[in-house]
Amino acid sequence: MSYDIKRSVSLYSYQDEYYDGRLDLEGCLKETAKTGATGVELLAEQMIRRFPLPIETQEFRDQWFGWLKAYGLEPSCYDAFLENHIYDNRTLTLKEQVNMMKRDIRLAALLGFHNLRTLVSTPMDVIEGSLDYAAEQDVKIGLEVHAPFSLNSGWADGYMEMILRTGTKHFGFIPDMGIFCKNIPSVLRDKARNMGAKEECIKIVDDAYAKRLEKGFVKIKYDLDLGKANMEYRMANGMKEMMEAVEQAGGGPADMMYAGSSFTYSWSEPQDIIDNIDYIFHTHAKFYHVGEDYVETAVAIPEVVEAFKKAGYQGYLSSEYEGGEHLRGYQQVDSVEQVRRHQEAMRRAIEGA
Amino acid sequence: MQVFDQYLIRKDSLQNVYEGQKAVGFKFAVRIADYRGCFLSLHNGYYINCDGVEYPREVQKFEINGKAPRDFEEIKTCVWEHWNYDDEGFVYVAKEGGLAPGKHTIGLQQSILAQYGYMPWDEEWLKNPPVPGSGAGAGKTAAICTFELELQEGGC
Repeated sequence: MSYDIKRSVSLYSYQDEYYDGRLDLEGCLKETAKTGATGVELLAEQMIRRFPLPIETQEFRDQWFGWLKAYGLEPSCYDAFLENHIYDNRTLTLKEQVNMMKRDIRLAALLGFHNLRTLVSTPMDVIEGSLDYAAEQDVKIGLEVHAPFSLNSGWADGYMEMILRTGTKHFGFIPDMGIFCKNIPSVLRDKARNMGAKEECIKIVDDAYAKRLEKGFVKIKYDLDLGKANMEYRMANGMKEMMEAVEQAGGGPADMMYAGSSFTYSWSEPQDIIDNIDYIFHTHAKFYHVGEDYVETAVAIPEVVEAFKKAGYQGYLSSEYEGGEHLRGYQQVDSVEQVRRHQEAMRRAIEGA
Repeated sequence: MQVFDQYLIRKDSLQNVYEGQKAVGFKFAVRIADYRGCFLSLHNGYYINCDGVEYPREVQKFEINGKAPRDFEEIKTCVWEHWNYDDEGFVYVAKEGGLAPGKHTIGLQQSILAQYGYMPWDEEWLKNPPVPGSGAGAGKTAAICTFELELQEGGC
């Protein structure tokens, strides 16, 4: 099947440079263009000051589209957050949540985005209640499939049922490539060592990860209480036994941090992409560390890109750098270089034979 | 989730707060510990421990967006006002006489009820918003961070 796999950068990747004032919004767009990416993904609440007010103004939009033109970029995905806790005394009602989703769809459309990422915590009723408006605005709502969640799971089936029942063309999945980790990211291990983790404990955790990979991860179930589903998932994948083994080996806070964090990564078969391709229109190309040899230390980029090719994917792979949070405690983060390497790694995988 | 914990306080920002000639408390500059901004009403205060003494929310005020310092009873009504990711705010703590010159040890945890969704405590938040300092779940800073700060001259 013919594919059209394009490269994008999520500006989430540049959070350290933006936080430190080394890059502003225009600077991030400029860096994105330099990597050869043609798409840009935006977290409006991160880089649009006084969110959401400027988006409502023609002046800001003229500037935004001016930048996109100048740097040769296309809007790929708008990342929304459904803030349910803004009122002190109660959670937002369903109607208020739908209105907030519609606001985000409208803001995304105003900035030229046709895809909107919603968090896994978005209630089904909120998504269903927004579908007509999404169609009207020509914006697709994508549910992020981020570890511990996965495609081809009881959890995903809950959403598939809704897609098939409504026949919607404006809702689907946005896989986060953190669900394709063959190893625990090297930056997490480095951080654990820096904090004083024992080699023996690191080995217990790494071996347990390898064992989960070999046996196949037990997938997460559909449950309205996602926290409960997550804990069940962790237990079903041997978290208790692993934590006990680390404790018995005399694990301290650094070892426990490493052990606990190892459950935020997972491995799914790349075949899941092929099976679900009709419902995938954008992808978070999550990564943690790409070496000078353009090899990602955890995410199986070549295998996953191969699956996208086989599936005939028409959409963006959007670099999402998440290694910085493990480094910033003890060294300067260079997201710009990491994104450059990651884009090159993806280019090689996409354009390779 | 470790986000920007170590940047929470600007190191050279600790100062006393005066009313006339009298020191009535202290203040320090903070940044948001998340990877994005937030609506102000989601920010429900700090766990603050200075030199072994805890200072509850009732004696805290927060200054942001060019407005006079507001207490957290007022902040929780600021539903559509945004705290930008790249903006610094000031935490004011009422303490008669302020702080003595020299070094001080501050333990701090910031609490922001931002949406994420699948951590075990998320459902609990709906029923019982976390009290800052009550452990994991009180916002994006999972732990109380400790800072050694030198009291700066001046203040207002």
